[in-house]
Amino acid sequence: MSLSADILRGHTDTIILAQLMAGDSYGYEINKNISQRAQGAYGFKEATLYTAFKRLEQNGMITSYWGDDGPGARRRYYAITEAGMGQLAADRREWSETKQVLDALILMKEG
Amino acid sequence: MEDIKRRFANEIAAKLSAAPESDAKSEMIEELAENLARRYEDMTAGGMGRDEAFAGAMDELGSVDELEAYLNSLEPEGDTREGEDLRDDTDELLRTIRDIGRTVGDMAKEAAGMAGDFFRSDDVRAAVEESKRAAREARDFLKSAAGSAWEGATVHLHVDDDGAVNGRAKNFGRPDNGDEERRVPSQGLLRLDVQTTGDVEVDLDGDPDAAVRVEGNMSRLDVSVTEDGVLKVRPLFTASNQFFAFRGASSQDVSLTIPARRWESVRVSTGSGDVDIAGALEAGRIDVLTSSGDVDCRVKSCEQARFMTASGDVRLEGNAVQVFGETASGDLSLEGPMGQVDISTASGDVELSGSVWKAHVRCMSGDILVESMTLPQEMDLSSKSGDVEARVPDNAPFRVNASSVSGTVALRPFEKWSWSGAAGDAAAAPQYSLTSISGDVSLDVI
Repeated sequence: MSLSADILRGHTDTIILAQLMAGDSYGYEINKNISQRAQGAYGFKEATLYTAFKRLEQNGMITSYWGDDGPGARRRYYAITEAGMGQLAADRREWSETKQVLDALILMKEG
Repeated sequence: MEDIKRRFANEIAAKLSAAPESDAKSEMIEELAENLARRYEDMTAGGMGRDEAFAGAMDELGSVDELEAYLNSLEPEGDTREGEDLRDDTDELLRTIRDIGRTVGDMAKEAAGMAGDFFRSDDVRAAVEESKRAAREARDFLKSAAGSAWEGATVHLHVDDDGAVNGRAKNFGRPDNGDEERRVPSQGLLRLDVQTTGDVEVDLDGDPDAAVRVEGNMSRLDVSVTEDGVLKVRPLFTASNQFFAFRGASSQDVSLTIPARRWESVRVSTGSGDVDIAGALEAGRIDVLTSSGDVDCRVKSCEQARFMTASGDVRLEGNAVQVFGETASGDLSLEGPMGQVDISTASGDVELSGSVWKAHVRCMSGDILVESMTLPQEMDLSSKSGDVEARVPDNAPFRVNASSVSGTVALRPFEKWSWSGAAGDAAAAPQYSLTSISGDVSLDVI
């Protein structure tokens, strides 16, 4: 499957917010879920994901806290905020409109 | 899991070495290391080899440029102070917390007054409890820090948004004239790294939890602990002692007493000073480097020992899996049991005793003597003008190539050599090579 990395990259924040709607989670688990949903065709580099978390956190879309998962496994969990949920709803509307327009333009039948 | 996480943390820290140190950076490294360690676990569980999985997981880190950009974009941390005395920190922090408590208390009173006795805002009450809890935690932490061996250290204090107080002691080597000893808590310490110009002595304390004692002139030494568990001792260069150090007039002797437990690595580097590692040190790796200083090292067990000197002599006693030695004129004397030994010297003599599994020794003019109680699997000894001598037990066949151009060659006792290179096990038997150009070569079966 060949994907447009540019289009996907443009939706990094939305993809993360969508993941967090399912519940609080930490970096590796979020990335693994994304990769599984994309059937292995897409996943974030850790650095990209981390900076996205920080950006979303600074903008108030998500919050984070350290969870204790047993010895040696201190993990930072991320949770979506109400502002994040609002943003995700707006992003979803925008995406479905964009997708309709793109479908109409790109999958246009000749004649 | 802990080890692999630490390995990832070290690797990430090295990649981020250009970014300034901060709490945000430490947290970033911890979080990314955790993610990569989890990824590594999944990869190895899926049957991938460890090295491949480590490289694969590191590859998934991606470019550190964006991480660095993020760290550089942060404002200097306002609530972390550095370089101040512990007591000043304590007082100031407690004052601040008291002030916050008072303000919150006033707000609570006001709210209660406004709403009457029947109603109190839960939020205000929660805030009061929160500030009390923060104050209690801060006080307990500071009390334990000041009461323990951390005295004199630089302590970082950080109050989280949720009121938790975190502390971190960083530098134990604050110059303090007249102080000849420093104690560093040994919990979490994994490695020892000493670089100085004078003598270095490492002794063991039988208590595995004992604090590390560093003795020396503390106004001239910098003692610090890195976040990945390395105790570092370095000469503290001031304008005046740097002047003397460059001229060899100032040498800083250091004496360390470390708890007797396994150390990941012990590294000592000095100039003309002697290095004495006493007791039965247990270490993954030992590295000793001197110019003219002699090295005396006793180990209980060590996976890899590496010695480099110019004119200094090296003596090692104990159980070492791998030994590397390189000197110019220094002599080497190693007493095993040893696994693989690789030595090269110019004029230094080499003596191996006890038992050795594989010995490779090269000298220019130095003499070589190998005396093993067990039959070595490999032995390759050569000197240009020195004598080469080996003594091995008489318990299994082996083959030998012994030669000298102008010296004598002796294989003793003569009647033993009928079976040398004979049929049967001969093909699988160890083959030795003992050669010299102008020196004598001898091999004795005892």
